[in-house]
Amino acid sequence: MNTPIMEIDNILVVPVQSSLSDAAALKMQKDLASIISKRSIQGIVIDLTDVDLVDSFIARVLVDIGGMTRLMGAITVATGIQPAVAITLVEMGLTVEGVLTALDLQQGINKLRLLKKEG
Amino acid sequence: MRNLKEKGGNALSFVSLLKENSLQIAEMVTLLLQQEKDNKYATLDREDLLSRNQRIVEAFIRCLESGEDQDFTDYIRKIGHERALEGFRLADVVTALSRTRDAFISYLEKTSNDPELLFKRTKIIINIIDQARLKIGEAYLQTREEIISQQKVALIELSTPVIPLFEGILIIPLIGTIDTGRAQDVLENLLQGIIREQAQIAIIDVTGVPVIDTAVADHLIKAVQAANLLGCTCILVGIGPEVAQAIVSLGVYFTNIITKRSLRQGLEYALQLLGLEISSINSLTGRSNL
Amino acid sequence: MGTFQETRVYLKQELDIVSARHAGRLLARQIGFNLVDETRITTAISELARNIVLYAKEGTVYIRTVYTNEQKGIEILVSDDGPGIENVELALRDGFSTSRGLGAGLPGTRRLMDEFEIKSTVGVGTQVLVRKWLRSI
Repeated sequence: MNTPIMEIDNILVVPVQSSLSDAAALKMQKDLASIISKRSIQGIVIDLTDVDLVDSFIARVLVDIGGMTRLMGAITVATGIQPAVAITLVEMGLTVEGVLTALDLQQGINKLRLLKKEG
Repeated sequence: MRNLKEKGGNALSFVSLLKENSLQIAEMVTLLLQQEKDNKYATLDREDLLSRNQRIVEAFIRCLESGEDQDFTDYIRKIGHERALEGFRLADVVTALSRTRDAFISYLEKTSNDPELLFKRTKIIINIIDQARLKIGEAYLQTREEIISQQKVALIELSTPVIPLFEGILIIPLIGTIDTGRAQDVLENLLQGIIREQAQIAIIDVTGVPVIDTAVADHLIKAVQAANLLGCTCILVGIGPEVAQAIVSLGVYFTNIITKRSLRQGLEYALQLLGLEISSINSLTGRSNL
Repeated sequence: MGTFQETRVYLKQELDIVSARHAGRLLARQIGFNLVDETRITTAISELARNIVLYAKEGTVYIRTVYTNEQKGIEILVSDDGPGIENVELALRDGFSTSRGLGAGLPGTRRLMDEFEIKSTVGVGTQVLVRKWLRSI
């Protein structure tokens, strides 16, 4: 049930597990908020490579995390969104605003560092 | 499994007679087939045709001998499948079975004294061949359908190419009308291409699409948004003013939809985004002779 | 239209949404849907099931195979005895939401599926029926 949150050089990395229940998603959001409030964090990379379903609830959680980090001066990048998931999200009309995206974890971290460097 | 076995001592000798003369029967089939106009079997080299006929005649006799038709049916299905792959027509294979039947019956007629027995045996042969014609037809058609499906898939891949350039840039030239089905294929190919090539930029060229109405514009926007979710920026090129109107009228979701007039401009912009440019070799300093 | 293979999931708590998704994914796969359609179907089930858990408190989702002479597909019926939707038209309009979800629920689900029917009476309950057919190449 617990989504692991790892830290690499001021970046939080969250590898999300495949069957994310609503409660687990909310807990993840809470944990992230807690860590960000206590530490100086450049950003969050949420890796969705293992996630085979993103519905409106999970999308909303992602958007909320994005908004929250922005308010605290950090950036959120969602990575590894599966093609089938991307197509479904777009068809439903969910665009996950306010959250950057990258193809995989590495590209996500790169993007984050690049943006933070540019200030 | 039907009981094809004849009862009594006559039965054994009947089958052994056929066995002994299987080559003769095969030769008769060969002769009959070579007289068939338009049949692909007639175009085969005589030795080849003869050995094929021998195989089927022997399989048929084994079927009569054992009294059960499972092996023969499997063999027939295999032939139907193979001939479909080899490009024979359905009529060719069915006719071949009919001639095989004719050869067997003709042989029996010549060697039989007992009309009643002859009639019984003829009936058995006709039944087996009837079943075989059905089975070969089924197997043949099934294979043809598989071939057609495979060709369709190949066609889809050909008509929605995703071309990797360099430095993580993809080019997707769209040509022809984009209906809902094709749009779906373009979308899936695009995303698979982004993953395969680790692309950060995709240039979608719609110059070759004759009609871009709001439906097509909708498909394009969908593709761009989906690509964005995979971290790839899209540049649409080849959009004229009418098409621009169509997209604007949809009103929604404009972020990250970059458009350029031509492929060249699109490429220049893509390189710019990546902090690259194209320049002539002479302008590079410190380059030694290669 | 013929129906075979039905799975029923009773929806009361949030974890039941996960069960419903799982059942839907399995049947979709069995019917032969490709991965993208499988994801569409499972996501639609998730949205509909969540609506029940959030608004109606309890209900049932029925997931079945359907056949016609030409096609094979999946049918999902979500049924509850909850409060009902006062303005169905409004609920089907994009962007409408009464809780923390993005409001993509019903209109989004409709876009994912081939057929969509909804019947709702205030004080009695709601039924949503959706179908998706196997796409022939």
